[in-house]
Amino acid sequence: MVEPTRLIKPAFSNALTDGVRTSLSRFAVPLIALILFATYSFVIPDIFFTWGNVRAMLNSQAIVLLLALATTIPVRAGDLDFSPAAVMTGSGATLAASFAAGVPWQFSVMLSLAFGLAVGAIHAFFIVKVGVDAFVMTLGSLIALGGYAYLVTGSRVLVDVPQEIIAFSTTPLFGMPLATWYGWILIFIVWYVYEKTPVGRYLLFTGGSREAARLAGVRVPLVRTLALFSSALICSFAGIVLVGQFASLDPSIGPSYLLQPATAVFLGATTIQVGRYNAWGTVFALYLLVIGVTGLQLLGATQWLNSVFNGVALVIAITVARIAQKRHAS
Amino acid sequence: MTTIPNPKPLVSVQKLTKSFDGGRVLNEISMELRAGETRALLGENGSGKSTLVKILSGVYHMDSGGLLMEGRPLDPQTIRQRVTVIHQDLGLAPEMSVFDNIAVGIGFGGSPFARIRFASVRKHIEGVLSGIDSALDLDARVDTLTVPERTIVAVARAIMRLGETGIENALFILDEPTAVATGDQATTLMKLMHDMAAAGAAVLFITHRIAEAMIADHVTVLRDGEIVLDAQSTGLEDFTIIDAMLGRRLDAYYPDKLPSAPDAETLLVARGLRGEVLDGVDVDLHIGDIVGVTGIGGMGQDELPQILCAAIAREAGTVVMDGQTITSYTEALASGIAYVPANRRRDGGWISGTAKENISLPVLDSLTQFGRIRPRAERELATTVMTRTQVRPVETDKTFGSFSGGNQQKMVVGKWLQREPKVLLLHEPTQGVDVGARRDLLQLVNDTAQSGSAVLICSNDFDQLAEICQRILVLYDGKVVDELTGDRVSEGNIARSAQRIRSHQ
Repeated sequence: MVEPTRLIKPAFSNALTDGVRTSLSRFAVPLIALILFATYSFVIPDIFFTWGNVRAMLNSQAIVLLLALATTIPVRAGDLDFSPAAVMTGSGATLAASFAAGVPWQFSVMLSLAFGLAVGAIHAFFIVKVGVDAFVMTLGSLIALGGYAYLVTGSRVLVDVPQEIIAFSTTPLFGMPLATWYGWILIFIVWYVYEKTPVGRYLLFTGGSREAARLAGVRVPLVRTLALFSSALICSFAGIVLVGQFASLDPSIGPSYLLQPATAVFLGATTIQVGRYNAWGTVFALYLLVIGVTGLQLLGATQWLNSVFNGVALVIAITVARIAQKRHAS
Repeated sequence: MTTIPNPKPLVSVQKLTKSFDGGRVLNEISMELRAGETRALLGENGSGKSTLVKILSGVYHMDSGGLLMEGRPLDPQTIRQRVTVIHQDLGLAPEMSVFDNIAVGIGFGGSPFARIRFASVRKHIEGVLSGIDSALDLDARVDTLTVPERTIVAVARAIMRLGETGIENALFILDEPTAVATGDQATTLMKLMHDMAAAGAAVLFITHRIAEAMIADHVTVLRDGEIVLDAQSTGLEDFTIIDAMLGRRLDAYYPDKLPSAPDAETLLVARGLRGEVLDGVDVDLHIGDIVGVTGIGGMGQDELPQILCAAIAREAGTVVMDGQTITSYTEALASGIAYVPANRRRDGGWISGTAKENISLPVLDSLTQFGRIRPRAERELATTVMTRTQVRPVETDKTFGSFSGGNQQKMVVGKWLQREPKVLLLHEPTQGVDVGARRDLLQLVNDTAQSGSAVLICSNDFDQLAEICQRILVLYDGKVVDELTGDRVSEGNIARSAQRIRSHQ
């Protein structure tokens, strides 16, 4: 179980200097994102600082954003979830395979969402009821669901996608495809639930101190179950959006969505609501990563840099948070 | 016992003094530890036992005084070679074998990359075990062993570490070796310590049980940082030891005790509670009651509150509250029972959550409108609770973990008091709490009882229980062995009853 409070402890003090330092560490991620954006815009203004590029960056993250926000839910309740990319692929494969079998698109969509709920139920049964470690369980389903996608698609890229599904993802609204808007709407829903409702608080305490939450009357098993269900359901929704966006389903696409959401979630816990998995932190972390990578690519860096940048950014962020925590503790 | 102690002391403690934050924890302690001798160290919580052990084992440095081993100052090097502390947590790997657990102490008897010479290491271990008159199956997994057997493993490992000099003229300190042992197991452990002494070690062990202290060669009692009894156990009476241990702590202060209300209405009836170490306990709570549950360590008082409110599943027994049977923790909360756990940092709250979030958690539903927590209502509630329980400072956005222990405890109690519980279960409510906070907390307990609730306090602090409870249940081996009421509620009576010693008055 990953507890963000071990990564960084929120600092509270009346002293002005401490206040400044606290805000600095709280807003470090959006600040760095802004600095990176400004730097690239200055260095390569004609290719980076264009509406086309900004739109491309945002749209490229539509699916990742959905997956990252979905991941924060069980993680906030203390259960690490590695399966989102695989649940999304599995759901997309279910959808595409049922199109291929001639099932009407409405039923196909329901089948995909049912697939998500089934995965949620299996996760909840093994993690909450049986007590299997969430890390191990979701790693297991990540691997198994990868195979499922190949099974139902017959290891082929399925391209027979109804117009309705394509329109569901690609119809433009204020210059942006709907796929991107879904992520943005989800930010507000997740943020509202986390910060304004009792459920958000229950998730937080369940992840922070399970026994204290239980003794305070929080129904911990129910909270964890709901978290795993919501996560799987959002990921299966992302699968539908994915099929619409590409107008096809490639069963081998899963792994390319594996690491980015997880990186954004962990990096996100070091910002905005420091020490807590939170909606806006995740969003800023995600955009920091995409700005960094896109700029480097436009500067001429090759594909390998993508992974290196993501990995190094995560380790640096956690290291800085760790040092800040130590200094605060001493 | 039969062993003849060496006339020359192995370790001499001379006028040892130690203070923390200006408070004197040990005041000019002098004692002599001899090879071949077992010595029991007794004293209530906060008497200075653990500080003394930490100085002897080199964790703390003394402020003044002398510490000699065979006439030479006890330096860190000597401590490493000759002094061993066996902690209550024995530090064993439960899923590994006895052999692995012992052999790891000497790096499996060779260099890290050399082949392990199993036969010779086994022989070595068997030699060490027979030296303390013990035999163990070296291939058994440690988690299949009894408490005394595990202690033997830890001791054997420590002896191996001592190297060639072995157990002879080494000092062994055992911290409450019998705390979780049953009667028979405690006897086995006492035999182990005598065998260690017979093999030439000086053995010092901490205990709360006077019966055990009487079996040791020598008894030392600490109170408020001073030695109040230091004598051979031969000819010593048990009540002499008790009287030495008792006595008002210097910093104690209590609110006035409430009179007991004789015919008050019954709130909670528990019958035949079993589970963990509890073996059939009955409890009745009435309006206005402040009832204490106690015993010497490990007799069931630490499990009773959780079993009563079903936070731990019980094996048998019934709890009825206002005519309603309680079978789950959720039902217990709904019926008006509130439980304040002993470990407040782990179970009482989330240390990284703010004061406000921790306080409002059990009542979030009542602060919610259209599914949204009303921020102002929540802040006001937290401020009210913190003011009422005298938490300082009243900063609702400070993290729970950044408050002092006393303030944390006040918030945990306060978060339940806002629900106006009918029955308040407190587990070690003032442990690790400063004097002022303790007074505030006990005042809250009194106020709660006066407002028509019942309070049950499970604690090992006899003095405190005697001062605020109208009725005391004394547990031994999971059963209620005595119920003290009225004038019989006194620290001395609790202590004698808990040790199962008849009164000498």
